[in-house]
Amino acid sequence: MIDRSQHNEWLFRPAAPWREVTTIERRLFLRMAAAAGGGLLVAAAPIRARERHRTEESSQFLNAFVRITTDDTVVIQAPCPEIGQGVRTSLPMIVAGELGADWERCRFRQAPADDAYGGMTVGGSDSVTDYWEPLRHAAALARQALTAAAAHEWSVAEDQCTVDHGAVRHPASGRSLRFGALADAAARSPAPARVTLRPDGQLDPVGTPRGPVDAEAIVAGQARYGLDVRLPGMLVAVVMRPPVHGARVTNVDDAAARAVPGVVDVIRVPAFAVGGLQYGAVRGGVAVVAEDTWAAIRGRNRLQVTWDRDTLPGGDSADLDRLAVAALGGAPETILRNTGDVDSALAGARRLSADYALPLLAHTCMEPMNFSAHVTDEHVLLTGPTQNPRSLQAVVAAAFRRPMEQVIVQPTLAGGGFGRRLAFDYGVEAAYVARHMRRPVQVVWTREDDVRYDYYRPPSWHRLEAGVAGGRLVAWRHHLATGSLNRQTFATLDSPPSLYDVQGGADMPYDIPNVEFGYSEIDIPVQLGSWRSVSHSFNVFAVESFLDEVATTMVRDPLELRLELLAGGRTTIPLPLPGRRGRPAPDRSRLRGVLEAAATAAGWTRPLEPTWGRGIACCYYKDTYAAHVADVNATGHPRVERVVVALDCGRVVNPDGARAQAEGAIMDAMATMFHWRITLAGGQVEQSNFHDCPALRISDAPHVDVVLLETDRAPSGLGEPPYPSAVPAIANAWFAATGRRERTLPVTRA
Amino acid sequence: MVIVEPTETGHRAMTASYQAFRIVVNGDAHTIEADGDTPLLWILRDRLGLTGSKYGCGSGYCGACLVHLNGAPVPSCTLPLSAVGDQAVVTIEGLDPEGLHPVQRAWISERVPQCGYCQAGQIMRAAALLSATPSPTDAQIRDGMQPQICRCGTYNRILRAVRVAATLAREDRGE
Repeated sequence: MIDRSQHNEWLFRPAAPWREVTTIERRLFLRMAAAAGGGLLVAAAPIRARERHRTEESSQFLNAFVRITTDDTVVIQAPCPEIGQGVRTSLPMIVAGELGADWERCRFRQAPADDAYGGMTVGGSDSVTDYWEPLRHAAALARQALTAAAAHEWSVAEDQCTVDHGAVRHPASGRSLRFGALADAAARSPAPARVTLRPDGQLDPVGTPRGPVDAEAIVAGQARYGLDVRLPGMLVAVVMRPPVHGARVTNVDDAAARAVPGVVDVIRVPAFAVGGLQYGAVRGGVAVVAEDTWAAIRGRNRLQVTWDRDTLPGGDSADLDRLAVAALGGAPETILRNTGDVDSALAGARRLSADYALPLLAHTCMEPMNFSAHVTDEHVLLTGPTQNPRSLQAVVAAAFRRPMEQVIVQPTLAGGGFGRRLAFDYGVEAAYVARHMRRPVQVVWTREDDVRYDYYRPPSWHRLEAGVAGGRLVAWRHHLATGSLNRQTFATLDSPPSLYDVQGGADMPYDIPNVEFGYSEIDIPVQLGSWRSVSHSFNVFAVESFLDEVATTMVRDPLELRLELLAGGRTTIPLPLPGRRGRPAPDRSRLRGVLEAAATAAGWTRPLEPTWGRGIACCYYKDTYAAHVADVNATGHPRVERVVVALDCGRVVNPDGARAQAEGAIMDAMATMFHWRITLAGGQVEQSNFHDCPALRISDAPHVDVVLLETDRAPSGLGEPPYPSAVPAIANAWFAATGRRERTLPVTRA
Repeated sequence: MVIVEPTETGHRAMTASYQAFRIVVNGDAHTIEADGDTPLLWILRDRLGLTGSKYGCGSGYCGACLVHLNGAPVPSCTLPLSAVGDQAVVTIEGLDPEGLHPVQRAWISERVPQCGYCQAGQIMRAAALLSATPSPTDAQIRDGMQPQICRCGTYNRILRAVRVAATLAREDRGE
């Protein structure tokens, strides 16, 4: 039997984990305030916890992130939820490296929502960037406490001691003491006068390839995801939700549902959004609550509910296309970038124009949405898969008028996230049902629910125009028509657009003398949200495909043209947008770096067989730079044979995790190119499961080569950056091989 | 005829298809009182506490729920309880007592999982594939694994891991 004590201790007795947090006397505060330019403020105070952990072994907290047990295990608190992006491995690697722990003797606990652990939200590929310094500080404090304890024991100076592989050593005398032997004394050590960090390159295991910390549990079927939560006496609920956005219940006939064996109750769930925040908006409907999952599903199947409407006029995908094409035919509602004089430059140039259209996309996380909740007079326990534990905690505390300390959010492993689980609607919904039932409840979303009640990647329509004169690209105009993401997610419905809506397009990095970016909003009748790389996911496709079209017209090598347009170093693109990323500042030299690395690895200048084609694309996403080269073989049915990706994310914490993200992103790009689209009929989503919302399969997977450009810069993220330029690289290769320029996705392969 | 028996929290209607079923899972016999139409997946997860088999689609499209039925790979989400009979059911939990089946060992050495949710099903499919075809070609591996969806896109590592598992299994057999 797998020794389960090695792995994520499971929440069978909900009492244990958050009592540790609430008994910590002084908190380690990590203020994740991003000042303009993205700096972090870290104020750390060491923790003195005299409360012992309530499991078999006794242990000492050295701070919120590090606990040492008497059997010499280092328990690292993983601050950020794991959705497959690897942060349950990479963030603890940073702690272990700075601390000097023996990685093989480390165990990991998932942190409950608490400001002691920082922002905790996993989104925007920010986790490694935001936690790099604070985790090192926390680990260094623990290391220094252990060192002080050993130095005191040996009556030597602390600076004569070294720490590695779970022991403090005094090389001069050959003495050493393991962490387990020092933990008690370390917990009583006074706070050090200052924190000393190791050199950035001496943080083993940082920089070494590691598999996921839960791999053994996963392959044995012991890993616990949200749907695997089992609270004592737990009921299961499935919810019938409105057929179209905003529909309200007019009648419920639940007699047949209640007659299903195992059904306990049928309750109404109101539609509400605390503070108007769309990310937490419960759609409402009717919940069937039962003793087990199948009874709940059967019960809902027998529910008869009528709604005030089940169709929305103008809610067909074709209607949205018409609105968007009309919008693109006129002036943009808002001009967000205007350099030089595009009209004049176009007047004197050879003009090209192309329209692109990308569809609504669903997330289809492998694990459908679900959350478990138990509401009592003493606490509100929420546990399940989330990317946003602290927001869920705050919204439920506000909705239920409970103090934050009573609202415990314990993230589980998540079977994928991709941005869907940044929304916490399904967590609030579960809390509501549990409060009504006064018993633990797990709200389960079927796959059909998951596909039809998503926070979709918005559809987008693009009109691009370029002017070429005297052998140079002199003008660039991009008109984007799409639904507003910012208003539908982190903000409220009356907020203005932000960079969130236009990134990858408004901040395109090429040095073109006359540039204009305009934005027109299209009203989309379904909920919109963040989808892996957000608006980069559609804007970069349009930009990099159109630039390829320009290169073809100019009879220029697409790599050489990009390198020419990316001369120089860091440049700032001022955009009239609020928010902390209102001033994108891409470093063109890093874009050139990844382009050249990908091209070299792909053998860009090596001639291909006549029926093959090659395409290239690049993008930057915050501080991470990516370039892709794809090879398409058009002998017979065209097939993407290989994709090479070069990534520059500064120092790589976990090289194997980095490769995994790059590989997975390319698979997403393949599915984007050939499979994925959500269509609407009368405001209803037409797709419902994997038969009409197909996933990529193993036979479609191209060969992938990943090049990691290792640098000494602080680490930046990789969850999203490897995705955006993969799609246009494939599309550009497709054109080179088949002669077909695909401007509307997905492509139906011949 | 319908017999209604009151229980603590509700009423169970004993319909014609609501019976006691005896099934054997991972070598253990269980008597399950349920509607015979209940997919085996929910019996495993909700009645037997075997949550290793996952719910991904409920319709046999994704393979996350895959179990072995007398050694053959079967999606448990579309297998009614009434159809199990005395066929031996093996779930991911029962594939190997130590979690050290060659496929499981290969999945670790090749660092296959990202989110990991699909991997139990992938492993069960790969194990059945190798039982039937001990030395598969890459084309046979792709064909054999085609029914399994991985949303994180670990397919290339799955391919490598199945190759490695085939080698490990041959070594275990002393070949």
